[in-house]
Amino acid sequence: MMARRRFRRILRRDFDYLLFACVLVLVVIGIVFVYSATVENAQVAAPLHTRQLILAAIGLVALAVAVRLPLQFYYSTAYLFYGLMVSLLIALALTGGGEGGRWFELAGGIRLQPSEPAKIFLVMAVARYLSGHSVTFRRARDYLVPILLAALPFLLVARQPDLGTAMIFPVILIPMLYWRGVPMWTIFLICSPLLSVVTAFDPITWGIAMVIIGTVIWRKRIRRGLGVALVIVNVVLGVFTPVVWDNLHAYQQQRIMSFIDPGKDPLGAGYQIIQSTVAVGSGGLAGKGYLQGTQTKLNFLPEQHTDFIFSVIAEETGLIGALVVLLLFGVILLRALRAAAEVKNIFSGLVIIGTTGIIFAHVMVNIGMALGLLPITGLPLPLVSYGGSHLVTTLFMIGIILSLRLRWMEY
Amino acid sequence: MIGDETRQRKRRAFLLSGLYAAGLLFLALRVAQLQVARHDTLSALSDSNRLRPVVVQPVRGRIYDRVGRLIVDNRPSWTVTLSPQILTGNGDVIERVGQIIDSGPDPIRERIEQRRGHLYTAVPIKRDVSFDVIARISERGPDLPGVGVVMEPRRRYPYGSSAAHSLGYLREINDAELARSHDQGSGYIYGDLLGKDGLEREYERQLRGTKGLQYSEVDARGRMVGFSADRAPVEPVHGADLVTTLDIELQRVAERAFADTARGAAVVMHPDSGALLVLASIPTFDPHDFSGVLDAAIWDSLNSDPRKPLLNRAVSGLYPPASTVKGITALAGLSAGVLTARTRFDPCLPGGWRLGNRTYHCWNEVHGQLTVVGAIEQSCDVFFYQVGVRLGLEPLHETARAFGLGGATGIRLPGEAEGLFPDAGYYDRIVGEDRWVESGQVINLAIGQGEILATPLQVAVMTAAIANGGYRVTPTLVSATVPAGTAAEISEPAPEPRRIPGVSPEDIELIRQGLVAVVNGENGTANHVARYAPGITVAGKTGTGQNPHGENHAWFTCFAPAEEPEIVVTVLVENGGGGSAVAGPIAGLILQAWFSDLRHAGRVPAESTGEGR
Repeated sequence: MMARRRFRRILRRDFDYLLFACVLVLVVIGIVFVYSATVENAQVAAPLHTRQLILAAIGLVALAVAVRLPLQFYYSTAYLFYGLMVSLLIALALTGGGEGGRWFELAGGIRLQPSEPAKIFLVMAVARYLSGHSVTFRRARDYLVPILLAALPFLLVARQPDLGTAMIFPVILIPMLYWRGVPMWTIFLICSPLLSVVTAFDPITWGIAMVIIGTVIWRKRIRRGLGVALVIVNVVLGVFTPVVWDNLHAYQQQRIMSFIDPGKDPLGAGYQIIQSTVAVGSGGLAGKGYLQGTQTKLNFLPEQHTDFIFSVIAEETGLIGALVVLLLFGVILLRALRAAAEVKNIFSGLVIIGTTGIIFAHVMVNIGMALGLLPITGLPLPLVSYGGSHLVTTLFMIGIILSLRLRWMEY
Repeated sequence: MIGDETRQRKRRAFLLSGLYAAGLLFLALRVAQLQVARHDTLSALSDSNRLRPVVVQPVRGRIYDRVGRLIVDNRPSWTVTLSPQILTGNGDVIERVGQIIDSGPDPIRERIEQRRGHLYTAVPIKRDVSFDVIARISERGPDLPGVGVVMEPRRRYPYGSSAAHSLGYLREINDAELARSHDQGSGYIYGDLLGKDGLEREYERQLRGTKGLQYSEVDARGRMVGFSADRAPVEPVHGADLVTTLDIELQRVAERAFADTARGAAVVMHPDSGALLVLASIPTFDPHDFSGVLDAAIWDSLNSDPRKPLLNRAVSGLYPPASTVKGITALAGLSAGVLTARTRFDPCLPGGWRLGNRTYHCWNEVHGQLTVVGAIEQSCDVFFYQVGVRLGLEPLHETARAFGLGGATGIRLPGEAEGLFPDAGYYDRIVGEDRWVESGQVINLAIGQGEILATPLQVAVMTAAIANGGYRVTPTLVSATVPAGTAAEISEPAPEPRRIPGVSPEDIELIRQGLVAVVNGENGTANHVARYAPGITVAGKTGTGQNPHGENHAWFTCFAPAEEPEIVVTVLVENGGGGSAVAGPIAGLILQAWFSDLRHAGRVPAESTGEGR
């Protein structure tokens, strides 16, 4: 009884109502525009916006549960859930999963996509490890353990194949390592292999990247053995990436290629990027009006209720609507970061930073794709895109952030 | 220590906040770039995505005869079209639509493949389909992305095959014409019908009208959703109507006057103006067969028919004009002074007429000694041999050319043959210099045989020049155009008749007397024709063109009334035999119809559509 009353008092004082309100508004926007994106395709038995509404309700319950759960629960179960999550991904890999290899097909046509909750559990596990007092980043294993923790789900998800979602796992590490005190240049060196991969196709760009990496190694006085190892890794990646490229799935190659030159094949893969920018651009300042988007209504936008929901919003509500969405995400992210600065517990801070990083990465990649800036990766727009696993997971993550903020004084 | 840790956290949170905010700001700037700076471009792209300009074919100009009878009309018809873009990914649509329109997939695919570059221009794949087909297409609409049905006016010919050669026909534009249209910017697109022959071709520019545009909204699969509400359509403009000089009733009389299996031509012309009342070629064809995508079987049978029904014999058929030119030979002789009204040459005897070591025979055994009038009346070859020999090649050639032989008449119809009236240069070229004897050639030419070739229309022009007292007329078919939406006729200026130099009215009067005698004289070669036009003096000339490949070609050319000529009638029957017996009665029936009835025909009310057949 006492505990409940005390919790209520804390809730009144420290619950982030602004963040929560922004989340609710985004969820409502999502349902409204999932309706707009799918109203024409009425052949589905249960309309998608109704399903999204039900899933939002489930997600809000998950959020409430997350707010209720104590900090100790998250900390103590971090490795357990990580282990469960990896087992699920392995099970999915063994059974083959549903169509596309990304889901478990449950009874009643419900799909469970384990790669979505996997993001949270990776954050938990990495946060628990990094919050250990012995972590000082003077030992190699202080880097290697988080990297291995991320590598496991990365590989399992990448082979589904879902490269877009898989990329999120290693990306989560960056803000978390930084938060724990790893200098930016060290993170740059950790990411340097990726730079080598991206630049490997153009010898001159790759050369420049190598010079920059070498300069950082030299100026920051990296231990000789580690420095040499880094140089070797980068050189090997630069040389072998083109070889790996040839072994990628054709559709993966095509997606990346169509990003590099969307105009090359206007009816093929580049079509989606072109149609999306056309949808956004034709929206103008005030948009074409709700349910009036011609790109949407006439199905020129691909995957409009999932990957390209932002394009639908931008087409129908114009610059005003697009900026409102970006502003809402901005408020959520900045409020979460503020919470991270406030919480005294190291684990709590790391979890908030990790989950915030997930949301930020999704927003950037999804909207960047809708605006023709990034290749099509199939990452949803958090809280807005149609998709149950992702919506529930994201609301649960928001719940964790709210919960940890409530308990900011706990060590 | 604790305070330091807190400061560190605040610093990192601040930096991350800046980073995230910068990321979102970057996205916001990109949105603004797309929605403000590039808004116009991308809006246009969005419109071109969803709006397909659909060409609305204009109603082609109608064609009337001289008294206002409608001889070429339009009726609405439905055409099934297909957008080439559906080839990407929806290949089986072709099979499905093929089943409905009763066509295999390959011909459709072939038509579409030709248009692969023009993704959004719908290609007509079947014209003039039934309502049943339209119903089935709209029923299965969702299965048939890219398939459309458009209304197109289709040609209707109330008088059937009458005057088909003069009116011409429509066919689909071919690649060469399409390329030319592209160069000239005349706006034809693949699948358009255009005039391929006759007036339809010659007056294509006036008849076709201006296309309209309608904007239909389509979805990503190319299915038409409806017409756009925010883009106003451009209305098509009707083509101009043509008012012809033809008398369709007289045309029908002329066509029916020929025997069922006959081949030939009939020309009826106003001698003073050159206006054509009849321009008939037998056998004729049904222009309805052409007014869509032509059935290959029909085209093959028309092309391989040994009677060559598509050939317009009146303007493109070449025949030796035979004795019809004797009037010209006589005129040339009179003008050159080798002949007077009373001149009599060597008699026409059973043994023929000798020149050098060769004997030339007359068509009839004996004519005795005739003057020019009698020689024309009885068509005495021997008389004209001697005119020719005395005259020489050059003066004969010049006179014949002045009367319209050996050169295009200038009628505005495609495919006119020039014919041939040889001169010295011709024989030098063909036979070889110094290897031909002038007198030998000129003897043949003087009676219209030998290398000389003429079209029935040329013979009519030649006859008209005698009828009108020595004026060369240019035959015309169109008297006026009527632009759409107006009632005002704009006259087509007919070329002025030109006075033929060096021919005196007295000489022409003499020839006219001879021609009158042909029909009315006791010994006239066509004196059985007179009874067709009681009370009217007919002047005419028969001709029997020698044909080394078969039966002779039968000619009869005449004008009436002789005193004040109203019409020239020229009839040719290919391989018909003797001109008098075969061609004469056909001309007689035409004269009979004209003078008993049709010359009085008044203007019919504008909206009358004429009786169909």
